[in-house]
Amino acid sequence: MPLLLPPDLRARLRALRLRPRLASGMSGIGQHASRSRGAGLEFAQYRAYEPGDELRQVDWKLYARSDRFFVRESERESPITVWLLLDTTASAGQTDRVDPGRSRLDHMRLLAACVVELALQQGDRFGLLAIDGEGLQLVPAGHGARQRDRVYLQLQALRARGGWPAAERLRPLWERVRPGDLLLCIGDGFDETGVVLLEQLARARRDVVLLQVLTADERDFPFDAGHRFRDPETGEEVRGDGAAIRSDYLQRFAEARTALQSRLQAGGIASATSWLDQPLDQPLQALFGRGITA
Amino acid sequence: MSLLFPLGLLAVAAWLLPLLIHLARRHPYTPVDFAALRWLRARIRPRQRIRFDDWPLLLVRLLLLAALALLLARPALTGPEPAPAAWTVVAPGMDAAALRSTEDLRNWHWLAPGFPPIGQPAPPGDASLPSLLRELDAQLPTGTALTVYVPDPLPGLDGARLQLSRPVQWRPQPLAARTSQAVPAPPRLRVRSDAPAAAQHWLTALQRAWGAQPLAAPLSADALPERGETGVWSSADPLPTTWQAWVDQGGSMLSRAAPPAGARLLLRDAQGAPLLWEQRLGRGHVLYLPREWDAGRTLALRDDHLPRQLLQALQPPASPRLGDALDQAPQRASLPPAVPPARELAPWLMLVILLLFALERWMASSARRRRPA
Repeated sequence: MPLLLPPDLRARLRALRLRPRLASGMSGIGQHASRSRGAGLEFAQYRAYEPGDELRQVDWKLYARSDRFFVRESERESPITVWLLLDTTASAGQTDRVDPGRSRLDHMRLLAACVVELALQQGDRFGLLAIDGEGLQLVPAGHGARQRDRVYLQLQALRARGGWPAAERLRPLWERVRPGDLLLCIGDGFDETGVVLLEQLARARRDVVLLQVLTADERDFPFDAGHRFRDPETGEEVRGDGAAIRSDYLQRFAEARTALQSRLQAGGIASATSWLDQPLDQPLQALFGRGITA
Repeated sequence: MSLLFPLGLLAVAAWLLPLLIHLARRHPYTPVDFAALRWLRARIRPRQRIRFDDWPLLLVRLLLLAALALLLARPALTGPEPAPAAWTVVAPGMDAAALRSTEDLRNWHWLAPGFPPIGQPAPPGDASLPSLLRELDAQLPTGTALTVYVPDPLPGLDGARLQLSRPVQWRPQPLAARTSQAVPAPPRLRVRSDAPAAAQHWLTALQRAWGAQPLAAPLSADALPERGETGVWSSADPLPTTWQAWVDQGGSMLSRAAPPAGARLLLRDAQGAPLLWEQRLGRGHVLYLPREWDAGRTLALRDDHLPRQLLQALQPPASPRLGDALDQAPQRASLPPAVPPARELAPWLMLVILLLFALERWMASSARRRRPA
């Protein structure tokens, strides 16, 4: 299935901006606020003249009004690096009952394509990290249309398999994702070790966002007959009559989601939930939309 | 409706098979991939009540088996067939078109084996009409009026008077009788050459009395009479085996020997003493006249009626087969009620079974198509 975003979705994406919550200070011209102030396009502040400042930075109109020397400072804009971290363990292969042709992984691919689109339109660097049972698959960060094609190619090649790998196999992730980078994790968020990893990354000053992709079956639990529920990662099985265990499951699932949310908040991780049967840009709006300055 | 073989219904016991299949085949726990398994708490309700999978398919299968069992039980319809109010039969050889123009046009049939409708070409009319009428009377349900067109004179009569269970509108139509039976030639006697002269004299007189013909030349010692001739054994000895074999194959003969035990007495003479016996021998028959064959000494041989009686014994006169149609009009008789032949439903049942089988196959295979593995 080609990664084609419909035009109306593209139009809505155009209004979004990837905004890191932690200002980074890499050099270069870009859209993101940086800690380093200096010459730039966006006004930041006036400050008192100090010896050594360039004379052309002095705001002469202000001097005329206040009879003091002020220096006009701008925020320097710098590009950030956006990392897409896809959780393609076996649970990503789950499909909805109503739409068996579209798995969680397909949805994750499209979400990643949306983010790539956003990064591309703001000139940010972006890279891809995919975690599956084998370990880590990686497209190093870069920018431009060719980088997008590389990422798309890797996205197409992804298969849902295995469980969460051991920590050693994820070491390249620490090497690649630098402090200050925006790490957008797209996955189901069911793996405890995965959440722990995100918390560690957030503590290590990476700007971590979790885009939790959940199926409608997980939300509604529409099973009414007896079923053998099987965990695709562990192979564990639970037999149950859908109607009988439904309410209990829904309650426990909602509790778990609330718990995860508060845990992420405590860890400084922004999060949004994307349902398989809802538009792709809905969680992105919640995360990067106008009016919400994270 | 009745069953000709009710034990066939025992085949319904085969119902056990699909019932068991549909019970055993149920697998209530279809596997589902579910990543959020840890929030599921296993709670299987004990659901032990009997539940059949796929009950429409089960129903069709049960119906199919029931139909098969019914087929084995051979159901038949015995009730009265929906009968027309009136039948009209026309003897073959008559002009049906001319007759029909005068009458109601429905239910006209030929009076021929099978009673074909009048629209078909006229069948050959060599079957006996009274016999056909009796058959038709037995087949038709009571209450159906019968109109019969027969030729006058009526051919094909048999020994019994025509008696039917219903009133019949008898419509003889004059029609020339087609065949007049030829009078058979009188039998020709063939005597052996060793017969006494007195016997030959009497036999010659007998032959002349029948047909104004002389007696055929006597046979030599060992020769047998020709086929069609009447052999004469003029001595009192029993028949030799060659003659017995000849009679056995359909010959008829006159013997002077004493009649054996099983012989039937045919004639007595004027004094009342037994004179002539007959015995069937294979396909032929032997007449025994154990007197001295000498017309001068045996009074019985001089009887005027003896040649005619002997001729009747050798050639029984054919019963009349042609009669005046009005005289032969059927009489009303209270015959036992006709049992209409049971009509078996096998072809229709086979059709139902085939349809059910096709439906079952379609349902079974389409159910599998709906659920890809």
